[in-house]
Amino acid sequence: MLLFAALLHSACVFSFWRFRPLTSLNGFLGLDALGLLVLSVVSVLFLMVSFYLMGYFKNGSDFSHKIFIGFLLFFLSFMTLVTISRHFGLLLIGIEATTLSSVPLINFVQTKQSIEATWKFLMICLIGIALALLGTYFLAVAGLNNVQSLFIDKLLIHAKELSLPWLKMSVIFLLIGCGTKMGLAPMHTWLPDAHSQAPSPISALLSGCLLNCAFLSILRVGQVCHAAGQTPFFSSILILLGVISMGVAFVFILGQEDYKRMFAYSSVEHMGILAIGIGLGPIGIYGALLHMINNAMTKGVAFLVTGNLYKQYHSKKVSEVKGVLREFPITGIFLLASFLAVSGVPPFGTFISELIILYAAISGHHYWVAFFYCLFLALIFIGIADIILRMIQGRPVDETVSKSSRESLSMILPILFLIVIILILGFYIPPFLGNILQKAAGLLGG
Amino acid sequence: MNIWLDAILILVIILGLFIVASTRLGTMIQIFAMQSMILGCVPFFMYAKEMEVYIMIVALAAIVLRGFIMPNFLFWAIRHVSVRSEVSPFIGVGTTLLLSCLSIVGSFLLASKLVFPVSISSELVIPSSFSLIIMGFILIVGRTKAISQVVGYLLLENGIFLFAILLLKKMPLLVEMGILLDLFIAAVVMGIVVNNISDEFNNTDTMALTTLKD
Repeated sequence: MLLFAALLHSACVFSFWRFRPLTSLNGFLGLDALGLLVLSVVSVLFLMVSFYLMGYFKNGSDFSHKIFIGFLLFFLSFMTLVTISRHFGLLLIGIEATTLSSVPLINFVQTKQSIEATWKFLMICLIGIALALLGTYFLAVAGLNNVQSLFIDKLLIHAKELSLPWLKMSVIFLLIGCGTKMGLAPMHTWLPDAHSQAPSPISALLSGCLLNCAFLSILRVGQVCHAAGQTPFFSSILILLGVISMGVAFVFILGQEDYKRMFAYSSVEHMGILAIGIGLGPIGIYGALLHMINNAMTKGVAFLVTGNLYKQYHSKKVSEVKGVLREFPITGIFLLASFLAVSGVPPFGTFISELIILYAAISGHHYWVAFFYCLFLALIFIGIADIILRMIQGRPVDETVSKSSRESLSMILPILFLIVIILILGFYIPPFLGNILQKAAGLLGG
Repeated sequence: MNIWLDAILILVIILGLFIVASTRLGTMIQIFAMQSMILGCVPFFMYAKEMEVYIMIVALAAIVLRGFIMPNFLFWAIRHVSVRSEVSPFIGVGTTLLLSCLSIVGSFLLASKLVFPVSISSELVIPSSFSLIIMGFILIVGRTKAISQVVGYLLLENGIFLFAILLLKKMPLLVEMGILLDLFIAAVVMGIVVNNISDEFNNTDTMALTTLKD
């Protein structure tokens, strides 16, 4: 059922690549290059996760699994709504609905910790969305004399006539609100808890899809700012938030004891990289969009691998997971690959996109940004390497762990597929993708 | 008409102060219900001369959802988890009141700096919406019981709703309704999670939620 829906969704998205649909429902819905890009990422990752879930829920026919799948499909449809909405109000409704539909998914296991994580997630994200809502109303006020609507297309045409103080207020509130959802520090505090307590496939979806949907809403704000000629204002806030996010991620990754939390903080780091990229002008925007794809796939790999690890070791503690490569060679290799991809080591696509953003920083004479960017990247690489290599090498602490569960095929193939995508993107960007990236960057003034 | 609107807005702020100052959860919810009903009447006064059907629908929906259904749901939640009062608030009542009063002053200062592009029927709308939002924040941060935090969130939403009333003419009905419904569902989900917390921890004190940290 889930797999069928996911396949159908991907088929629809694929057909959108060939024939771009026209705007419908009085212009409320429509697909531009940015939306298409995010939608495809969401679709591919969701398809892979639904493959993976077949192995994850072996005996999966009882009632709670049905509810789980139902909410998963809600989650997918609201994320789709976010990508195709052409109206700021509708966009926010979509983002709020994704939050609400992911609550039962995060709280699936129903332990004390997961309830705590759910409560934090709900509280912080709802307040964030409330602030974003206020920002949207400010945007409406900014255009009260001339635009009189919140349709993105109309706003873009009349952006120059918007009243400036209200526009700036609205940008600040929207950035804080959507930044909360995207996991930019210092509003990131829900993210490590939710990512570490949710079932691993859900963490993959949260990290790869949900954060990108929030990122898309920030890009929409960026579009309006660009059209209104307020790009420097917008960029300076984003660069600041981005650098803070990378710094916070570095502090908490060093010596992290929970490997899922480590990957969660790595999500914070990568969201920071995206924010910096968007703030750095045309080249940076191209790099950030490419990095968005790479990061989503990488996070998919990383969290699905942690799912495998958790199945085999029944622990999230780094100290209790040892000798992965010896006991579970395939998972071990995947873990190594996900570590290399997460920290942006050459053969993988993340390297290229991080390099493009660095180039943008240097060529734009943002030397301080470039300095902190490289510093944090290097330190985070060391931090993650320390943790992952300890897990991969050595012998298992508990000998009974081994041989109890084999690596099932449906839990391996999706990861392999995602790794291949990242590898391909590291060597070669297919022309159709390059085209759409150029177009999407063009929408943001790149 | 203008005087009536001003009077209503002042009443809304005073009720907000009451919510912030009370420690009994039942009283909090009752005052919140009263405030929401009064808030739902604001559109009738603001658009008295240019009344349209959809404005009435939004106002009535707000009154029913926020004034009746939501408080009843919250009452059900506190019956289920059997908490009556906020015993040990994180920030004391006196301090909370002082902060709220400061927030009202701050909102008036902020609103005087921002010029609303079109003329509005009352000067008090924007400052009172800002101060409700800040009071909601204070309640969320300062209280430890999960239900009081939910009330804080609802207070914040009331402030945003008050601001949204200004835009009622310009925004499509669909969006208004969608947002109203979304907020409603959000609060319901929060209530359910509150019940989960109480089932698992035997109380709804968010101070118990401290296992996840770095």
